[in-house]
Amino acid sequence: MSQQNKHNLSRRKFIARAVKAGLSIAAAGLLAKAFYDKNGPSAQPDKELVTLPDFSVPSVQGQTISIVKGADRVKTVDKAIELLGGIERFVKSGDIVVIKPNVAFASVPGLGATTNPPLVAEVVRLCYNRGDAKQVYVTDNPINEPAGCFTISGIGKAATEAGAKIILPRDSLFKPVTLKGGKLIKNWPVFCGPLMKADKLIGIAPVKNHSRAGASMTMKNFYGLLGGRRNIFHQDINTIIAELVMLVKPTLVILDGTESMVTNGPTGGSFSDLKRTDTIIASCDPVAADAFGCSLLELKTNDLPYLAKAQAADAGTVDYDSLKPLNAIIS
Amino acid sequence: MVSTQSKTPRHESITAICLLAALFIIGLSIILRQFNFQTPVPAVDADSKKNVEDILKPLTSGGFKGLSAIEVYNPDNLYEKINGKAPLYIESGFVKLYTRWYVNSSNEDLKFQLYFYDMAEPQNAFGVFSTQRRPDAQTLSLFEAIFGYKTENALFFNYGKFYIELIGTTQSDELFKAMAEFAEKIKRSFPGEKQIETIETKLLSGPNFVPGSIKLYLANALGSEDLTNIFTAQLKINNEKITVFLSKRPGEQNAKQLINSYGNFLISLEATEKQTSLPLDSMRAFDSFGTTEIIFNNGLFLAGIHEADNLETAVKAATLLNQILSGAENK
Repeated sequence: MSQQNKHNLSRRKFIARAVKAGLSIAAAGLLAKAFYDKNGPSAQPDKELVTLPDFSVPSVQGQTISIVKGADRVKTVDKAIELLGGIERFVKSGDIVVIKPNVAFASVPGLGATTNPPLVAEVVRLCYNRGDAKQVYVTDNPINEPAGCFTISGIGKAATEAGAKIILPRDSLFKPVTLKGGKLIKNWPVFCGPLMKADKLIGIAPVKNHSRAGASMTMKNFYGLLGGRRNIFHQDINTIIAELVMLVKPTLVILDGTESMVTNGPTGGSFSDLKRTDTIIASCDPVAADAFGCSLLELKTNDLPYLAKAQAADAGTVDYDSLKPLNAIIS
Repeated sequence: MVSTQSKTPRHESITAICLLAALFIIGLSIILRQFNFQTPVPAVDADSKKNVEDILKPLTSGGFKGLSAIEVYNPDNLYEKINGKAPLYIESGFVKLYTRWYVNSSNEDLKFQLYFYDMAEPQNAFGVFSTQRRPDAQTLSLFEAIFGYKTENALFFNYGKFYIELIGTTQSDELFKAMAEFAEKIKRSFPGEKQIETIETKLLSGPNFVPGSIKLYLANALGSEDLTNIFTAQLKINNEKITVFLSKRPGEQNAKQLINSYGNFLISLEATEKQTSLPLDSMRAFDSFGTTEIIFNNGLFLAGIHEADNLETAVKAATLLNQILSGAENK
């Protein structure tokens, strides 16, 4: 072993070592800069793209949207669906149907923050009795504790008594989903377990004022399928709602404007937040349904930018009149 | 083989030990910090130094008992309770929400839910309380008209830095009595709380104004990003109720700047400025979607009329408001 006196460092050696050290640091810095990606990692490569099934049924000219006036939800929804050709047009014998009401909150039915339980029950019954469905599931991924929401909202009991099974969210039912061409839904956990084994999807939503989105109706209802820390999407609420309606292609949506939450939505809290507007809309086009729903909240369609975004993405039409809505009044 | 053991100079040893000690401290801090991730900081009542949750825990009212434990939410998870309404609170200084269900011991259909928001400052609490105020609500005898009201099923009030909702599941005298008793207990349990008291609330509580109509918009008042800390109220004039707005600014120059920026904002929304003589030099009037907006300043006060039916009424209201401001102390 050669001997070396470590403390006998010449000036030449010291400078050489210092230069080498400096060059090493500079090289490491340049390398780090070259690798630095200020946009962060991309969400998911396209090869792993997961999408949801398309639940829509073939369109029938003049039978896309119906608007029925009446105070009795059961009679009104029956008529609204009948005008579109009856539930038989949407649900075939042996179908597995998923119904997605708004069960976001542990809120009693009278406050209108969640879908009306008898309305859910009636649609379940229609699916079984007239559509001859094999199985009807009712599901949602509530914001509050799921079991409590289904119990307190009354939807769990009403749906079960009508013969449906409730599916509560659990981790295994969420899958990362990417919307092709989407800006926000990229590799995001979506509550798609119940949908993957379904033949048909029916959304049922109340008409509500929404402090962030302007209004919560059939399109916003599908926000309940998102998992994870979905509140981050509130920063770009119009884009996420438009993307949801691009992602989820329901068979039918039902918009309940029998009592509309006109102020302090989406939670409400006072009966005085509700106004009787006595209308139910059934539609194959969620964008058209929500566009009409604006009138119940005394909004213009351009007050809800997500409607125009969804239309631009070919997810539906804001001009519901162009679909020649079928109207009826139930006395 | 000969080994040479060189003695390390003392100052190098000390430096090395210091560096190792620093690295050890950094490493230890990281480990401790990661096990202490987002540790909740208990909200403490300023006077009693007691934890808010501890104060709320024993509170009940006659015949009612707590149905569940108190749930506590912070800005990170508030959306899990109130979803789309969370930004309204978070943007207004929200600290914590305490919620709990209470049920009648002999009739479990009679329930109410407590929402107790700690908003850090009285003006934040007043802001979220007043902007959500239900129109035509009845006053609560427990509080001055501007700080509390009741609807068919609920009580809403602002007490110091707290905003409180007691929401009943049904319309019932027994339930209402229990909620009123509970509200009184809350008031007694936080004796040090001070209500917001500003020159604006004092002026807008005068005999010319509709009691309880004061609202405070902390940000984005009247739709304009530039308008912050704006009070509005209903002014009674000629059997009409006109919305006025008022804000004491830090300087007269600031008030004048806001006249210009609000004017530009209205023009950007396709409003047109009315070319007519007005009683004050600083006063400007606009026709906005068929309604009249007036904005002016009186010293430090920025003031105006919002969405009046016509110019004549708007000018009368602005003149009266200006007289009230001219008589105000502390300009």
